[in-house]
Amino acid sequence: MWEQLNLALQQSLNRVITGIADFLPGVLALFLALLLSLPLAWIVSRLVRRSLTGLHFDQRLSEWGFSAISEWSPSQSPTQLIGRLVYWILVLLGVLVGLTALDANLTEGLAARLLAYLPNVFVAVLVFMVGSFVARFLARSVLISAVNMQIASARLISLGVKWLILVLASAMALEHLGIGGSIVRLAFAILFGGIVLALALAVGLGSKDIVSKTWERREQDNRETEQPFHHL
Amino acid sequence: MQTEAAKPGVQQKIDALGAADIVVGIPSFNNASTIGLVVRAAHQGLRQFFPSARGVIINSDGGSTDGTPAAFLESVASDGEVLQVSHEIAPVQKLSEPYIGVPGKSSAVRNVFQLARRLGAKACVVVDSDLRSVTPEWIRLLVEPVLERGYDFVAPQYVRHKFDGTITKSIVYPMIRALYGKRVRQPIGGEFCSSYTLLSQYLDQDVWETEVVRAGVELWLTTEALTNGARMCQVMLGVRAHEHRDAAADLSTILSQILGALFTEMDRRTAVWQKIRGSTPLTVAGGTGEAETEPVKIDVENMLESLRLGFKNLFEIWSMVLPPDSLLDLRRLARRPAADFRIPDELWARIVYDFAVAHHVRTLNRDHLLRAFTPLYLGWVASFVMEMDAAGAAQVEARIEDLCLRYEAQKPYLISRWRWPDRF
Repeated sequence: MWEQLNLALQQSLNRVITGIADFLPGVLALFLALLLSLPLAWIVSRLVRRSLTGLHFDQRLSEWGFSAISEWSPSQSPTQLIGRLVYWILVLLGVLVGLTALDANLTEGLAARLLAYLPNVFVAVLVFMVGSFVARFLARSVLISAVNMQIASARLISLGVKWLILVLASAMALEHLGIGGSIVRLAFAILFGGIVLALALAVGLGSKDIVSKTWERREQDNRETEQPFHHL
Repeated sequence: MQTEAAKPGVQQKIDALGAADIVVGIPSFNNASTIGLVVRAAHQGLRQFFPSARGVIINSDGGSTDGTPAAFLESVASDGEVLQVSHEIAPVQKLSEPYIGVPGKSSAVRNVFQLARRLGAKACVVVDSDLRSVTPEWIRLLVEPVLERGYDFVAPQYVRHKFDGTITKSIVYPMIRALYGKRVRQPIGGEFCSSYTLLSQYLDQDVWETEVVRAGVELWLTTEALTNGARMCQVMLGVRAHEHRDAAADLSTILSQILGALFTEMDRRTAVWQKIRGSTPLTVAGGTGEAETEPVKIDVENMLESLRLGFKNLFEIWSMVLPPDSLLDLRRLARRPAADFRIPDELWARIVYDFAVAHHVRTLNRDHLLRAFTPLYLGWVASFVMEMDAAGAAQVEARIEDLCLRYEAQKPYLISRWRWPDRF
């Protein structure tokens, strides 16, 4: 009986050792992949940062209306943000390559799902960036027009327009990413409706003075004999 | 695009006419109520003052729907030689906000110039079709310097109410004078006369389809004449009364178009204006400046309110364009009571120059930039009106002369900022 127990224990131990022996090279390969990808990622990210600095990327992004990205970026620098993004993407790729040494099926499945998801990520980022640019542009247009029309709540209307478009762009981006589902749609509908109502109130209340002044001026124009003022 | 002069129907008419000494061009668009007066004045002017010259009146219509072409033909005398053509209003002009003046005027002027060149006309006058104060004398005043004294370009001068034409008084005239060194009092006058040589030079330019010509053909013609060394003079035409069409285009649109044209011309002619210092008077070749003008009404308080609202809401935009000391001066001014509100000439000249530089380097979207200028302009008008309220016409002209001298004195500032825009 003791011999049988001994044999069973030895077989189990052999299986464990075999398992570890099978697993260890994979783990070593993973560490090796990491060791190689870390310096490579560092070099590539340094190169990317230098190129972007040479192109005055931070300044150009600000000129194009994406100064908000500077506020979210480390050290207020989108160049740094992109540099770090490149670094961690390469490290992640290194980990994925290392994982193939462990279990090819696992990484194959993971890679396939990741690749299928990437276009959604790109489109979502693009939609958000375009939405952000359009929001800033239209907000500024509305602000200037409202000021020239002497609407007192010009800034509020401009802010409302900006957030309207940002909320729309964000909802579209989240839709592409498949995050939130019906909760996001509901939240978007409530927010959008709320902003539209606030805008309508702002325009209505803000321009009531303008409307009454316009009517007064028309009444005066009918009575007076003076010519209208010509700027040109 | 086939030019009007090349179209077969028009070719036949030109061949039938043969040649002409003087061409009077009348661009039109929905001016049925006034074109008759203009045509009769033109015809009378040609007959009375140039009886031995062969004159042709050309109407270029932009697709009027109120019977303007028929009104033109009905007004022509039986012995009048006329040509009627059409010009296209570019789709962008139909879709965008209304252009000031006759829509598609640049196309109309081009038509008239092409036909005048085909006819070999020694002098080509253009008069607007919405005039109510045009007289036959205008034709004599505009044509005589070209036909008899060898001038290439005759610019108009008008008798205006002291507060009329503030965009011209505060920006266009001082800038044209400081930039190009000639005191053209009315650089964007609707009436002018060109010699055959000069109109040929105009037609040889490849800019007729560009925005700068579409938005301000008169300004472009004047600037081109100034920088090409053409012999220029100006004539006093008297009071210019016309049908008020600016209601369709609001002030910010007008400013945006005029300033856009002015600043774009600066971009194109940098090498020219940077070398010029000071200015010289332009010969006044005829006419008298004595006439009565009708009173105008101005709401100064409304204008000051515009400036204050602009300062409150557009400060962020203005700070991208104006240096800190100008912003500080504006802040102090905005806080002053209405009675003490005066914008100093140096500050005003620098503000206009700063906007020109911002337009040049595209600090922000150009349309936003030019429209954001509106409250500042209204502030200047309010300041000017309050200062000159009790002044006569002569005092106002002297005041404008002071402003122009400040523009000229601040030109080194403009040049410095143009070359090094990041340095305030």
